[in-house]
Amino acid sequence: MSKSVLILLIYLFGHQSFASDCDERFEKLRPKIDELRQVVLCDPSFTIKECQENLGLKAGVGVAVAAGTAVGFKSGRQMILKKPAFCGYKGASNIWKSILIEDAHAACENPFSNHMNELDAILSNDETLRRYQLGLELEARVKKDYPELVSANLEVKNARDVIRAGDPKKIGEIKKAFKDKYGFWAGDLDASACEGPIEICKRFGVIHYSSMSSSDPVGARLMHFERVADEYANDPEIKAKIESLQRVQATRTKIKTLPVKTDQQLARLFEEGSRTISDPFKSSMAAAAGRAGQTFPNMKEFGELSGNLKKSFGTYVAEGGLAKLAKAGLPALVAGLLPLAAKAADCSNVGQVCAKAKESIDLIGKAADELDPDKLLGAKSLGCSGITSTYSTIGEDCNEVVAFTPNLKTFLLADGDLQQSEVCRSRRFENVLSDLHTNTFGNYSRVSCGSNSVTLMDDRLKRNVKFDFNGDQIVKAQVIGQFEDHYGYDLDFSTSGTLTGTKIKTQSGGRTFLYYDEKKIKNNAKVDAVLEDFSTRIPVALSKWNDCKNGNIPSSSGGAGGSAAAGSR
Amino acid sequence: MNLLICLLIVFFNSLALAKPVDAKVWLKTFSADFQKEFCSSRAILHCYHKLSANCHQITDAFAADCFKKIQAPKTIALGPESGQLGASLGRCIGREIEANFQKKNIEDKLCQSLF
Repeated sequence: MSKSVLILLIYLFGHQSFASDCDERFEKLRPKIDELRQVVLCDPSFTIKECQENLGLKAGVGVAVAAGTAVGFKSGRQMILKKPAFCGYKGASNIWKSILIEDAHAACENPFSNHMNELDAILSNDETLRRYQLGLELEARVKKDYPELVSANLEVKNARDVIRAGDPKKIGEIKKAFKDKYGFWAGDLDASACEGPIEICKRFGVIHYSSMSSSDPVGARLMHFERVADEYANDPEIKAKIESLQRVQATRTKIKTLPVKTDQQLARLFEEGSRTISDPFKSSMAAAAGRAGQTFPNMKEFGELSGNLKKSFGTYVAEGGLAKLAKAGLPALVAGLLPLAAKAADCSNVGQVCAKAKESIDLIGKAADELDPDKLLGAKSLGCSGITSTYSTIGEDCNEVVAFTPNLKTFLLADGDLQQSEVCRSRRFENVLSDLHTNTFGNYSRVSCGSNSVTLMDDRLKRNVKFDFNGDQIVKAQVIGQFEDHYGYDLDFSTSGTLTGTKIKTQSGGRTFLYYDEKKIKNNAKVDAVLEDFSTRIPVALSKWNDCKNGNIPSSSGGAGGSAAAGSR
Repeated sequence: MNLLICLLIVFFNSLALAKPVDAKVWLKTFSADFQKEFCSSRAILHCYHKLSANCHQITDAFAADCFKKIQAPKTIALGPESGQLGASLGRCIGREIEANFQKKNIEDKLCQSLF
């Protein structure tokens, strides 16, 4: 593609800022200077010197330098040239940003981001589970140490009807009696409206929110850490749990802030993560390390790490660890985070670990009353496959498979932010799409310009394709040459967005009418083939049409079977 | 259906867009983005004398000078390389501001040097 066309295309379509989870991370680097100390986020595990190096800043950095560096990085990274204007479809810009594959990776900040994202996602689940378990511990301590608050909570609950009736006199009486007895008042079942010493209110919150059937029991327990962790920070058991949680958080902070540039740095992060990860997530971590090892085959550490984690997870499963977790009353939401079932059926043939995982899942299903099998089966953290793309399939060998199938079309039509995260998550998308791109762009050896059309001659497939334009919009496409079981096809586009198609049966022009609607596009393999064939030609047609308009290719009479040609490559 | 076509149009063209862009185009776009964020930063306005009135022109001028100083390439690939170049350029602009504008509110933690 010539430079002029490239520049033109850049201007036509431009770049778009990204709103991915990768960007969310980057947003933490936003140079709101009043948050700069948080932005640099040098947690205690880094020395100041390391922080400075990580940030590329030297000692004695002033506010303007720090802000300039951060703003400059952001401005340069997500360069916006012009917003997309070509298609004019609502949402096109959103989609645009997401399928800009290479920039999607750029949004992940470096080539290691896929693996770092995976590692972070696993650690995030681990963090959630740890917080939840710590929350349960804290709740038990508070209930044991402050039985009067349990009674108070019951009393508030019992008074619910009176309180809700709203009689001020009666509420006043209840409130006074309650305050006299317990030293605080918790309002109308809302612990956040607690009146009284803050410590008591926090403790009451632990009991109150956990007991509310209408509230989110998992969410409530996740919040216990903030409420009462300080109070029990010197309790050895709680202290150990807090410290292990903090280690996971510290690793996650490093993932977010450390500019990983080498496979060794990535391996060190994985190694650190594997030291902190709890048993239920070791399988996911093993899979993630395995994938990192595939990307960086020279780094033997990934393979070793993966093997060790697998073994360790196998032992954990064999010893009934998962079942114990379930029996401990692990609710569905947290269970859904575990690297268990999702595609356990697919994975049941692949080995001990998966088989054991499946058994454990069954056991959990029986043991935990509140377990929601749909959620569990919908979990994306898989025992065998780790974190995979939603739009891929998992083979029996647990390998992720992505192909240009209707599944991939679903991906292309998905919400932009979702696409973005999928691209960041699964580098295989890039491979598949890049292959398709390479295969498509290599086939056109000759081009012919008409006054309102461009014809591409695909010598390898022996097909000529004529595109008619109205301005810059394609209004008709005609493919002549052997295609499937017929000789070609016509496609006509209306401004309302409907597409009609004509299948050309013979070279002399006998035709069969076809109407394509969305259902048929999804379900009809032949229509799919036509559209796939057509869609792969569009970008070439558009770029050549630009060349035609700019006079880079001499005009001719054109036509679907036109023979005038001018090499443009 | 047309949406699908547009998607594919955009998709395929997008694959070509990670190619380098001309440095002048890059700098112009960078400057616009940079000054928009940098000059609205509370700390920049709060911590440097006489910067708020014409921050845009000043950063624009420093950006052009710094672009020469850091010997930026003639074409720049969008993506990570672009980000790194932006960081270098932004750092240089920040240094120029440090060197040329007197600090104010220095007792405010917000305005104190880092590290």
